[in-house]
Amino acid sequence: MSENNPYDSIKQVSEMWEKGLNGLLFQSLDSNPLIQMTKIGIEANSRYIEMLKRNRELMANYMNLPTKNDIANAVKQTIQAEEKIDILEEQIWNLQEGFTLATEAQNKMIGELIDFTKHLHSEWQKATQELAQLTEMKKELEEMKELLQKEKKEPVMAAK
Amino acid sequence: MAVKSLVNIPVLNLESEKKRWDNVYKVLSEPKPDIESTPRKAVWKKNKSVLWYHPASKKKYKTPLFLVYSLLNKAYILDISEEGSVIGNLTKQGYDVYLLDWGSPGLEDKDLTLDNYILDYLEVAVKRALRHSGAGEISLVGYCIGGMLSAILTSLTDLPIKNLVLAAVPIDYSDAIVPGKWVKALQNGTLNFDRFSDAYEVIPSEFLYAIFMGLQGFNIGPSINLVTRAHNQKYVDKWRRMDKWMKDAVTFSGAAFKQMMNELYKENKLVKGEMKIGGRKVDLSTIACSTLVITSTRDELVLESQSLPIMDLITSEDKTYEHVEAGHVSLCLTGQFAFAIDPWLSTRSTKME
Repeated sequence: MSENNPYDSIKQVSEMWEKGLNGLLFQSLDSNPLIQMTKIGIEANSRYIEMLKRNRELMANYMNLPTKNDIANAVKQTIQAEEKIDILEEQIWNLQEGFTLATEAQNKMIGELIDFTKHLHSEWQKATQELAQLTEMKKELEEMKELLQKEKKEPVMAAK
Repeated sequence: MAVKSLVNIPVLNLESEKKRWDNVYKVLSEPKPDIESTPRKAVWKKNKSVLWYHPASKKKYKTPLFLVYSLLNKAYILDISEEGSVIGNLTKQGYDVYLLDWGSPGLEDKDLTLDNYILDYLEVAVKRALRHSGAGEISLVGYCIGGMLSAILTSLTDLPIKNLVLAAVPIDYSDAIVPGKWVKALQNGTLNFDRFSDAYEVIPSEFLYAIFMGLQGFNIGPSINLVTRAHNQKYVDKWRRMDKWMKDAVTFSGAAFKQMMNELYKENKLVKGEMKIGGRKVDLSTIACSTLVITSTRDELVLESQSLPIMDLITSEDKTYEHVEAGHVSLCLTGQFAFAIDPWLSTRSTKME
């Protein structure tokens, strides 16, 4: 807007007035008689509300009508049920986490078992090969032994 | 259309004036506007409380934010308009945001105390947010009474709270925004709200609205602002949303009201380390996480002296204090809050790889 905007002046004046009036209000409220009056007002209002509530309950009781208190009590049960569901949900989470951990541990163990079995298998194969080699060696040794025995016998006969 | 004058007479633009008074008429005659929130999903509900999840537009940080607003006002002030939304701006900045909306208590909630609000609602909601986000840690951001509840929870819980942000938080109740004699009357028991709370059971929203209006005194500023800027449609929309929020007061549990009046305003137990929540003493010195405390220059509800003592009470090595140019409500209303906490939070939140 232009530099000659009347609203700016209104705003400035209102801000000035607001500040001044608030200062005045703050000072005038800072008084003990007003506090005493408020105290009496709060007490009277509370007594009045208590009386209203007593009469309301009395009337509802005579007429067998549900009051807001009865509804509140019913709602409290719902809130309690909600809390229990929350606790159950948390317990299910804990169980889920427990199961996940257990499954992970189980998988790890099965993995180790498979590795071990594979290792055993390869060792077994190695052992079988070695056994075959040993059997071969034993056979060769026996043949050598037989040959040696033959050689021992033949020279004696040649000497005769 | 402007009419120029040779003498120094105020110059008015007729089109602009027509628009101005049309808008003023609309504000006075039309129903209050609907407020649309940023995209959100309810993660958990209990009684009237809802835990909302607002996903980041483009997630930059692993550490989510958990916002806790006051028990005495509605939380949608944090998400009031598209450009002025604290939540909207935080999600744009790359944070996943969780907001606990306390709801407005009914008669069945008359016995809810601060203990219940902290342990049965806030702590459970933080747990749920942590589980939902899958994050290892979370940043807790509390505003006004929500800040006080967040500080108490942080001091009591084992949950992994990485950062704590407290804005306009009342911790020390030895002073208040009301005149001195009223503070003394509350402290020496001359003014006592026990019978009042018991009689009403749930403090009516009209009573809380009256308290807020009373604390602001002669509050003609907003109306004058509306008239002076009513030709600006954007401002009028924003003003209407604020007006709706101001008048949309909540009820408050009688037991919690009594507890606040006696344990905080009368005995100032929190700052003295004598307050008990769930049977355990609240010791603010156990707060050791990174903490940011924000106060505003024109706060009309919480004094700076009420927030400052927390800086000495906590034992965090990484603690920052900021005094920003704003009012108690305008800090949220303008969305400025998101920009005030982002530089601090971004350096303390775990970034996405």
